[in-house]
Amino acid sequence: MKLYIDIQLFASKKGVSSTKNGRDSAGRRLGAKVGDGQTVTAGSILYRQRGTKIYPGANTKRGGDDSIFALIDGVVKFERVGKNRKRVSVYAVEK
Amino acid sequence: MIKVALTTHNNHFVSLLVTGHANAGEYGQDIVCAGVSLAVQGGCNALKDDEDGEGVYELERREGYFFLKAKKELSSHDEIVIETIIAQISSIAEQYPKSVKLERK
Repeated sequence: MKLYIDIQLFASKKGVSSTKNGRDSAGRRLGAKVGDGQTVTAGSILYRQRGTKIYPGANTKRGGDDSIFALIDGVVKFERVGKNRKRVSVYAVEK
Repeated sequence: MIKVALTTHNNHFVSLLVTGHANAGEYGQDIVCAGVSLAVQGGCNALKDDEDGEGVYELERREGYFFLKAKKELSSHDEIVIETIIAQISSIAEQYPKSVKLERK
């Protein structure tokens, strides 16, 4: 008798199916792009976010992707608003 | 669990039925299954009585299922080979009782 030996003839194949998962998108590098007290120029991105984790404050604006950017040159200030909200403002530097 | 049913008549081999899964590891890494698979299939490769194609044995094999039946009286050589197969399976069953069970009928 000449049998080809299936060495896993009595092994269970349960759970051996291929998974449809295993993909992920690259990280979006969200979060603060400048520090509190840092000097920035007009148009600089201050905070990248989805939604409004941080609200635009003085001299700043929210862009189409919710990022917050500076409207003027100045110093960045992260401030608290009410109990649990934050905003970021830019204040001009007195010459 | 792998269930091994050995049927004999007056100490002569009649049939061997092996069914089930060892579940002792993932497919490809199940060592108990490998042991039983080799003992059963490797042992059969030592059988000589049907080498001239006389159809001494009936054999059916698929995933999780192995059936061997003697359709005629066997030579002492093949009886010893089958006893060796059973001895190997019996040893595995003693060491891995959760994965292999040998029953003699």
